[in-house]
Amino acid sequence: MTVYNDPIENRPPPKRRRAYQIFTPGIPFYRDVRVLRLVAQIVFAVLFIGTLAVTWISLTTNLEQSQIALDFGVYKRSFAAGLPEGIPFDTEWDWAGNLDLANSTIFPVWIVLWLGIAYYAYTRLRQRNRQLAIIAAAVIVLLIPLHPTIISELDKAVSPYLFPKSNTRAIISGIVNTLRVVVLSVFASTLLGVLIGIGLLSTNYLVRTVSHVYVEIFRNTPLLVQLVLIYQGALLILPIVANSMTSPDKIGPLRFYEKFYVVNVRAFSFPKLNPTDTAAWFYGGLIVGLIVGYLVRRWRIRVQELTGTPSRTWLFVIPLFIVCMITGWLIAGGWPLSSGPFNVEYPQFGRFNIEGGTQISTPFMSLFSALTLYTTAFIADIVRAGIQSVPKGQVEAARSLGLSGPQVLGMVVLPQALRLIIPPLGNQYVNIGKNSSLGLAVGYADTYQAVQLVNNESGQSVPLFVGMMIIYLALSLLFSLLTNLLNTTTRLRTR
Amino acid sequence: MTDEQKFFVHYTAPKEPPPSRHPPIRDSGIIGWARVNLFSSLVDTISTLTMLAILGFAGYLFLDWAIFKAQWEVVFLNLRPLGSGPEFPPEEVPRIELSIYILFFLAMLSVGFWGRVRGFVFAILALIAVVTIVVPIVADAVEEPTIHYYIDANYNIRQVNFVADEGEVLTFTLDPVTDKSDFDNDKLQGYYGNEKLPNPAMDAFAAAIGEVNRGAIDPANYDLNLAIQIWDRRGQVIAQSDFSQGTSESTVLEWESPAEDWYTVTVVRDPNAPGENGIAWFKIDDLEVFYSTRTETRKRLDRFGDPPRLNCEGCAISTNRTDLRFNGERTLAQWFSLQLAPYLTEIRMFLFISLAVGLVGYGFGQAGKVQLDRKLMSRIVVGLWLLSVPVQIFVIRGVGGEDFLPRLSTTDLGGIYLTILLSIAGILASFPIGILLALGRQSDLPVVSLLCTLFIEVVRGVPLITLLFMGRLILPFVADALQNADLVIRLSIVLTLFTAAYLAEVIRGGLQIVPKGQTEAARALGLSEVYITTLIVLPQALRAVIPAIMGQFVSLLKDTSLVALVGLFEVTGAMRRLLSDTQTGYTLFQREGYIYIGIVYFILCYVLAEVSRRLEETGAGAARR
Amino acid sequence: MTEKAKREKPKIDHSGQPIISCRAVNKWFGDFHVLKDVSLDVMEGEVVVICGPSGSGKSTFIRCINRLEEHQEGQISVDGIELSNDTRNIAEIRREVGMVFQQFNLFPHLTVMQNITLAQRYVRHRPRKESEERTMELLDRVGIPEQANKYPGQLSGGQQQRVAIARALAMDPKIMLFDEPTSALDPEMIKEVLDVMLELAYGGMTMLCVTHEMGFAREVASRVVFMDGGRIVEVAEPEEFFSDPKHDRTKLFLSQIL
Repeated sequence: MTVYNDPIENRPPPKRRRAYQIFTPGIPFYRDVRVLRLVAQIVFAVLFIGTLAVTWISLTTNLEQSQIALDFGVYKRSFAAGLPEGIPFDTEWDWAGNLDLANSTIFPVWIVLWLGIAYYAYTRLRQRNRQLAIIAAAVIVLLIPLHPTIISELDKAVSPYLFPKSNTRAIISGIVNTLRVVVLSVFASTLLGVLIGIGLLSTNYLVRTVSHVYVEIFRNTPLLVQLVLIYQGALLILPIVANSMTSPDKIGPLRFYEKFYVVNVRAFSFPKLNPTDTAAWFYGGLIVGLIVGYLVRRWRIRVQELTGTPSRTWLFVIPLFIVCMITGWLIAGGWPLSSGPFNVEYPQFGRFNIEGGTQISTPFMSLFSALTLYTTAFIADIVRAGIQSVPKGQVEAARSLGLSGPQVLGMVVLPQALRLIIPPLGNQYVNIGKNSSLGLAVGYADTYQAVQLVNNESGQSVPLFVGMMIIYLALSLLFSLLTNLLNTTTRLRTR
Repeated sequence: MTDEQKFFVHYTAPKEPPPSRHPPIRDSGIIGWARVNLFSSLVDTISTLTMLAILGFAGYLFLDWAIFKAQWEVVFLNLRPLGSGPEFPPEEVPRIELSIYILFFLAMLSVGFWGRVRGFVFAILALIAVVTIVVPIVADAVEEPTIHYYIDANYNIRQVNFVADEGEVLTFTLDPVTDKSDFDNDKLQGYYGNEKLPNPAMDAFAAAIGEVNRGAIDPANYDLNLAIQIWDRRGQVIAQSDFSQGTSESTVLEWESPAEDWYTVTVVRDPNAPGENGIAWFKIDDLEVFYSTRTETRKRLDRFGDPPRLNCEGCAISTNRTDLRFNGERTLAQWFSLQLAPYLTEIRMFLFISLAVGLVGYGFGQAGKVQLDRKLMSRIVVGLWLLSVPVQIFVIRGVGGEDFLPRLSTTDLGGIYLTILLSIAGILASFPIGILLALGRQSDLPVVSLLCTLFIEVVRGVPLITLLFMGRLILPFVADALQNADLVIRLSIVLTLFTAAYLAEVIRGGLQIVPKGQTEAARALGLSEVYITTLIVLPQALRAVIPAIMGQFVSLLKDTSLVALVGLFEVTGAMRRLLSDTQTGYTLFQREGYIYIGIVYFILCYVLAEVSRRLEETGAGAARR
Repeated sequence: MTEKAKREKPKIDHSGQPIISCRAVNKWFGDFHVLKDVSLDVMEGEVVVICGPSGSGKSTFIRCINRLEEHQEGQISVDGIELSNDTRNIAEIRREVGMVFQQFNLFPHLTVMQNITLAQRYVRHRPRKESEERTMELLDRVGIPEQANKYPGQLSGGQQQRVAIARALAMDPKIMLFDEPTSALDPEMIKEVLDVMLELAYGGMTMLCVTHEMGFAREVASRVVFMDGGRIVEVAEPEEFFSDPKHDRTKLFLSQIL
């Protein structure tokens, strides 16, 4: 019957209606889908804001009566007490001076670096949007002459909060403590979790069962109980300082004049490496080693692509790295093993306490152990689920192609398993961040404890707690962003 | 062609298939299982042997401590405060028990009706019941060991109250310690003082031991000058030994009790003596440690009244229970009689009634499944659950007045009961909120979606302990109604909102699983949006995430332990309080206390996880093939 | 080849108003112009088969008719009711139009009986007894009365699709839309579903089908519509369409599928 011959061009969609044109002629407003959606949102927003407003009013009136301020002035006050551990906060902190590049000795290097960053940003953004790229590069370059002004303005704004022994400095010390335990716990629990996760999949009945029992025990008991058990039950029965357990003075014919470990109820002390003036050479050696390693790796991969011989990267990189490291060490004066780049500081028995060396406090130890053991159980299960989710057919296909065990694992199973493992893993990291607040129960001076101490002194609970919530939110957000980054790199590309 | 070649050209199978055979012995049965699972390769064998070694060693260490050295008194002497809270009036505890029985009955009723319990669970329950009856009876026959008591010259005077029958002969010995090996760590486990626990006597003792170990004190120079004194109930000295001099002689006091009554024995130092150097054991032979079994204690208290409280300078008020504990060496039989038996005796009544109630409930459930129409039975069970809520509230809150059910406020609650209460109330109340939040987050109205997402992300990004603290400090300021609300209610609100945010994420996952086609089909049929959500989307979404919801419940159960840090005495908090109270002296029993709490939580969570696994298999899948 | 007695196609009354009327319907997904000036009139009792390559907009078009997709330009009216943002209109139209999906979309947590009575009770507000009776009638009609108390997961694909058809018919619609109803079925089950659809067609139901089953089109369709690239390319009666297509694009398409 009817036949259309002309193809029809693509047209752009019609412009959206103006905001005030919500009403459609001919449809009464109470039946119009558009109006109903708008009204629903308005009602919801009004309810929400209304509740918020009522709460706010009631909160402010009551707080006024109890003399709790709602501004952030408490952060400017002084903190009289101290924190049991952490970076000291009773000294001047001249962070602005350190950032001022103009007065730095390596100013030309800084300029080159900065220009390099600007160029890099430009090339990266160029494909997306030319204008954006130019603007970004220009901003970065402009920062060079402007940075002293920016830094001094920032300094002026922030200095009332950062004087020695201020509340803010105390809380920052607490934050650093939190980060210490969180970062270490993340690494340790990932390592242990992967091991136990693989153990859960083992063909050996005993290994599998023991792993399973571990996971069940540590998953089904609260972290607080584990923490207090470790602290009260295992660490508090260590001897007092006077009776510390130390490394022996004599083993057979060998005599030792220093202590290599000191264990008591307050802390675990180990020798500390203090860098000397020549340490820079050693670090330089390490950096050179890394660069050389990177280049060698690239070369070996090219060799494999061109000729087919296996790259055996590690065979080349590791010895070269060690050579560079040793060279750096020797240049720094470390022959044979004496006074080179590092000075060893051994723990000594002081008057009331152990002095010197690296000291790991008992609260830190217990919080770290409990967090690690607890999170390991969850991570192990996540790893197991991820690896099991890879269909057996994949392994069979890889095997039938002749790939060896480790190759199958590394090139076929793990990349697919990682996709399923990373999101819940990131979630566990966020949990570590949040669970670290339990340091309160063992007296570890983390963020929460620091804020509590400030609160005890000043009584201004509202601004302090809001600040604390913001800090923890920022921490969670950081981990979530990192996880998202990891997620996108391991994404499957589909149609 | 040979016959063989012919075979491959034409072949017809015989009519009857050959019979199945058993696999060769090497591959079957337990040997076969072991070959595959334990010894399949060299690496495997090495792992197996290493594991066995580690397990054996660790197991030996743990059992050795748990049976021969650990002091479980902190657990079985405090079951009441652990179960219902340290603040809860002891005479009202039967109400708590009643509440738990109701809960358990309904739970078993539901299990009986909707689920099935495998046979071996009943076997295990029967075994537990038998053990609970038998062990205390058998344990009565075991002799209790002698008490040892540490003394040194700097020790404050302590006293031991005891009851002696008429004519009973008791021997008290002051035994100077001459051998350094007497002080090895095993015997003194837990006696080391430390900066956390103010126990000056123990500190001094630990310091002395340290000095002996270092060789600073020489037993050859002991100069103890101690004597044993026995007082009667009124504080009169009725017997005393000679003051000890020199190093190697023990001071012995053999004493015959004149009448059946309370007596007190203590050790005093000669006020005129110049020296005060040395360490000694104070041994009391033939005295039953009656604080360690509840029955014995009750018997004695019934017969002789309360122990005397003697006011002497430098004395402890009365015997601490810990002072009557052992020096850490007991036999297996003694563990049964002094640790396990008292525990079983304490929980016997409760255990049996619970088992009975549970069995009855299960029986009703199974009977109802068979006899009654399924829908009717469903309605009955759900109705009973709903009815139980006001009943429970009535039982716990009570009515006014002193006689029948005096009014209790929620702040009196504590212990395991509070844990369970907070968890159940939290998960139930958070359900509707969580569903609304999840639907709000998924909605296409941008304002709604944004606000819901904001709430969820903020609540999920902050540690629970901070929210609980805010609940305690700041929530009273938020609304006038909340100013007088007690702590339990405020923290319940916080827990509910917290769980709702996590639940919303879980349910959102479920909502995403429901295929879009479902809503399209429902819309094509003309169903309104509300009906689509409640009849089509939510049932499917919730069913899909039941395991995750149960997981959230388990998480909540564990998270309730955090209220211990905010001032409530649920089971972790109750134990913490017990263990930090220097009066009762349980401060040295940290490990036993927290391990027990851990076991309690483990049992609760594991059972819930099992229920969730079972639900996943049968209940949720019932709608599908 | 078996000889089948050809039944009489129902007579279409072309005098009245069309029951579906689309004029210059345009739809965009974002910037992508997916329906371009689509105009079509369907008379009562007509069976219109829409075919075309994937991505041609056929499913989008019929989903616009019962407002599962919203068209940005043009007018669609069904049984005299205009399809607009008026919630009352939308509800009325959805009552009159039934839809069968490629993925069946039965509610897995409800039995077959509950699936079919659900909308009757909550949208048409029929009492339970009446809706159950109607359900059994319909199940009889589609040939599976014994499956009434089973769950969809326990049925085969063909049975599920027949239940879906019954579910849509339970609302006594005037128009039935089919979105590739047999594409997800095994070859053995396609026949049973097509038989049901044939019965419906011979019974005088107005049907709009997106399908690849050309045998079905040849037998019972009053018109065949060929869409490509979002526009209607050719419309013709089946004999003419299959034997003598006019447009080049139609010829290319038919050469590939026949």
